[in-house]
Amino acid sequence: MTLAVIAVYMAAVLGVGALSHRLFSGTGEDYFLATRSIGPFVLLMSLFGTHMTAFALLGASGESYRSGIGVFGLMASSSALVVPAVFLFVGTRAWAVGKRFGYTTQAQYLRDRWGSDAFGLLMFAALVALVIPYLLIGVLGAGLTLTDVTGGQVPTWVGGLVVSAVVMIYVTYGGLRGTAWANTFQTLVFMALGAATFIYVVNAMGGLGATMLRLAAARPDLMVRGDNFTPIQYLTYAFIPLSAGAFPHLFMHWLTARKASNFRVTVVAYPICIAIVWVPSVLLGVLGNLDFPALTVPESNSVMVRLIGFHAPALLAGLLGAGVFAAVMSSLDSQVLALGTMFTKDVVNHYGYDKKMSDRQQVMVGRLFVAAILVVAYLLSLVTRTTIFAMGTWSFTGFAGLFPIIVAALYWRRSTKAGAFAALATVAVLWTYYFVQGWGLPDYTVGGTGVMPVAVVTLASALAMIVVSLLSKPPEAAIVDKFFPAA
Amino acid sequence: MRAAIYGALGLLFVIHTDVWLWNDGRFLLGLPVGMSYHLLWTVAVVIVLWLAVRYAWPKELGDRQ
Repeated sequence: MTLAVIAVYMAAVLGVGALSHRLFSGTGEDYFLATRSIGPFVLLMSLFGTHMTAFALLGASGESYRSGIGVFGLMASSSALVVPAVFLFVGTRAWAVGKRFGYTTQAQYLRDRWGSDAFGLLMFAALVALVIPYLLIGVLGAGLTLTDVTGGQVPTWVGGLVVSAVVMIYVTYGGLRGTAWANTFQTLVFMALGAATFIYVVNAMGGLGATMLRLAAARPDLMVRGDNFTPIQYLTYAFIPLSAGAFPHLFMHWLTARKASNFRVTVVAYPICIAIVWVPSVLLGVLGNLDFPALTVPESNSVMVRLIGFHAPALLAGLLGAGVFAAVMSSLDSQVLALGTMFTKDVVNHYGYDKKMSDRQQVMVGRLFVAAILVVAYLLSLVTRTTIFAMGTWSFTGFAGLFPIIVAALYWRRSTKAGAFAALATVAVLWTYYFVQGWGLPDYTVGGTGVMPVAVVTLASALAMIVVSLLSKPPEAAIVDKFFPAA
Repeated sequence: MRAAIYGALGLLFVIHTDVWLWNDGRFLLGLPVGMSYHLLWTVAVVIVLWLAVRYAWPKELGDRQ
């Protein structure tokens, strides 16, 4: 039954991808950016679906199982403010620049913005290096979920393979429009199924109020932040959602908007969408302690699946599996498409083939890169073993560190190429240092102070940008006039 | 109006770290107060963001197509 539900869901996703292909014009602009034609609702759903991964369902419930209700404030509500603010102040500006100059990728823009080919190449390398662990979250999450919802009957490698194959088909076939449509469908699915799962399981456990009181009596430590989190950790963790301002896959989705005002719905509705996904996830994770009081860290990432297996029929287990697959694929598709587009535009086109390739050939190259990236990500997932939450946090830390570079490019006319290099170098050095120090230590903070590495990396990046820009020669007037025209 | 809305966004960021409820195990709206506070805070964020797109939309964008 479980496998049949998931199979039907996969067929439905492929159907949506095939439908979108009917609008495909065959041009590069259409494949890579859906001809900048996306309306407000699809923009909201595709941005939200792209941003939410298995991290929001499996990682969050696992972390809540271990640390209690404070996970909601730590990760979800901070994102509810910071991410829409990033869309409002950064996304709309990036959209305007992309529209005006015809950009498709961040490296294209930043290369022109600071007149440096080398900076564009380094930024490309940094973005690719940071997206790959993010991709692995999805592939690993799919594998673990399929194994859990089938009671261990299906090995872990199968789920990742299925997800990678389905994504490969509809992304290479439908491009960004197919991805946006499939994301919209999948986002609606995982929001609805997450809510349905929550209602069913909580009712089966005796109702939310009674169950929470029972848990409060048994595990009062999970009802408060207490020693599970520190205020300084809360404050500095709020830097993590700034990563949304540097994700290449979100950047590409911003550029698909038909007009700037299409961002309005996204900005206002985003916090509501976050609450719809994270409240069930956090509460189910916490409540899992009643039925499964002694899970190990890796086991706790599947606490939601275990609850369903314990309380619900196989049909619901299949639906939850489909919901997790929806969350996984709606991120994975945009990430691989963004990487394929970056390889095509920032490497193949920029270094020698710009005038030699037809539109159709560019689309073909983009498709081949998508396929190759998925194969590599899948193979890496077979040899990677770590908690989903830890991988996400380190990836987001690096992206948040790049955020000041994007902000300076868009807002600060006095920012210079030297400042941008300094900021990028600062992120690379600090990120590597903290990664080496903190890898394998889930509660790692800077010097044990409670300060999350992301805050130090981001603030140091901003400081390097400001100080080195002010100490270096002002940018050329031609560049400033191009990107900051007089009103 | 624009300054007030941006100020409200800043204030929301500051009161996100609710140290005054850190060890409070009471229940509000059927949930531990540390969680219900953040749900109510999220509602406040929605309201301020609505005001932002309504009254403080970046001037240079207008409704450009």
